[in-house]
Amino acid sequence: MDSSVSLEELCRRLKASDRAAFEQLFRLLREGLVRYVRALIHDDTVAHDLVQDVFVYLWGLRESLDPSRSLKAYLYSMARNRAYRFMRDERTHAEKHAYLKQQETARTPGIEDLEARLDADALTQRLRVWIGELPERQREALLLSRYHALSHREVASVMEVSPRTVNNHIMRALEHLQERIQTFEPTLMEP
Amino acid sequence: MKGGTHGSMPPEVQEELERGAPETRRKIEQVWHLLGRLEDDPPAVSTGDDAWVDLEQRLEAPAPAQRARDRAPHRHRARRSARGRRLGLTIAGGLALLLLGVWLWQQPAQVVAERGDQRIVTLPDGSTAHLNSESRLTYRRGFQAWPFISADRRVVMLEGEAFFDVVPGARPFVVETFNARVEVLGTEFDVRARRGPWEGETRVILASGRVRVSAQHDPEYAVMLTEAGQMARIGQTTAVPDASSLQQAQMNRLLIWRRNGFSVVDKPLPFILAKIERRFAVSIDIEEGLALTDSMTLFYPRGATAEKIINDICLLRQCRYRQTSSGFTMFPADL
Repeated sequence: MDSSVSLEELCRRLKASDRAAFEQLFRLLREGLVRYVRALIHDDTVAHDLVQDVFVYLWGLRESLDPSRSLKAYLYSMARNRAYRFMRDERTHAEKHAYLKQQETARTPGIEDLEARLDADALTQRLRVWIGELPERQREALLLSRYHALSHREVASVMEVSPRTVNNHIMRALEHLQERIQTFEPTLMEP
Repeated sequence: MKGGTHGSMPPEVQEELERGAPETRRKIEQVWHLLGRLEDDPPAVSTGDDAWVDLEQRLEAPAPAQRARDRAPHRHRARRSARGRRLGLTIAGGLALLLLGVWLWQQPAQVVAERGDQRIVTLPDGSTAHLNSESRLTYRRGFQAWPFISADRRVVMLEGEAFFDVVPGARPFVVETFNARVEVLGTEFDVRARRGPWEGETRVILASGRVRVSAQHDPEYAVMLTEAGQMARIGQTTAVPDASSLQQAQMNRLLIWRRNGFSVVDKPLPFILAKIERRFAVSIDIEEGLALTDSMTLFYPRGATAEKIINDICLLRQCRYRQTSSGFTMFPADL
């Protein structure tokens, strides 16, 4: 990504109702946000819809943005709030929830089969499983930090905890994964 | 956000590791590195382009915020009641989507930076193109010949100017312009291809790596650019590329548009004014009695504005200007 057009600059232009800047932001950040929401709720279509809502909302309040604060953290926390609200709404309908759960458990082995066949590299498969074993908060902090390039401060404001806690989550997660790799793929840990 | 998978460790984690045993530190670093092998699958639902079209439609609709709020419960209700018909709908929808998808595949993807605008585009292979004002980039969706079948080359068509940062790959990356072809295997370079009375050439500047430049109608005559700062031109009359080398400073000046700067070296004023019009989306009128035909060199490392540049031109040429609704009018000083 080119550093000359920073998120901060785009945020400033968005505040001035620059539609092109808005589109650029959308194209830069949408995919990451969809992935993140999908990791929380396991539904591609809903993840897409929720992220679209986030951007509609962002355009609506563009004039009240503060470019000195991280726009990325703001978008991620809006997406997160919507994901949790969605899960809460779903949960009030117990029947639906049971259906989702059933779908989810039915889905996992299918995908694993397919990927096991497609994926020549079995390691990525194992890593996925091990990341899945992590406690929810640790996993979320690690994903945001590793795959979405959020700083500790940004992760902290998205997850509404202190940066210190974020660091603990990430350290615990990395230690857990290290243990797993050491046990099952020790050759990978050699210098 | 592919950049994320190559990300370095956050400083806080590094600090904590520096307090521990070096062996632990190495291992945790290794884990961080190994996690980079894992790339999320791209979202299956609609591409960035489709999503943007959808979003624009929603923004155009009246009271978008209201609609956004109304949408959510509606969606849930629909999902709950429609379970019985779900399978039938899925099959019908799937077929329709397939047909639509195949049709869409035939439409090349297109990215346009309008006058006064610049854009950074991430291409399907992760390469990026930084488009200068009034430039258009066209390519086949996903660099694929057919759905799920990769084309054997990554081809983009360029009208205007763009700086490319190409991700290395087995398939050659090709930039085609109206009269030239640039072939690469992982590199950074700038291509400018504009038609018009003052330009009409394709110019390629290499920033790193290597590229092969040939004329569109005569691919046999080619030059290889192998060192940073080398430049090739294909004119309207000269079909054969003509290569030369630039000093680092010259190269920085020619690529200053990427840093919001503005630069012209010894160019006729009509060319310069056209460039200002394009870059800042203004129109410049010249009143009778003012002859602006000679050449000039201008350089603004950053923060160039149309007014600043026109003001400077007027200082040097003893003319004056006033602002109009769409830009500027320049007129002789002693009127």
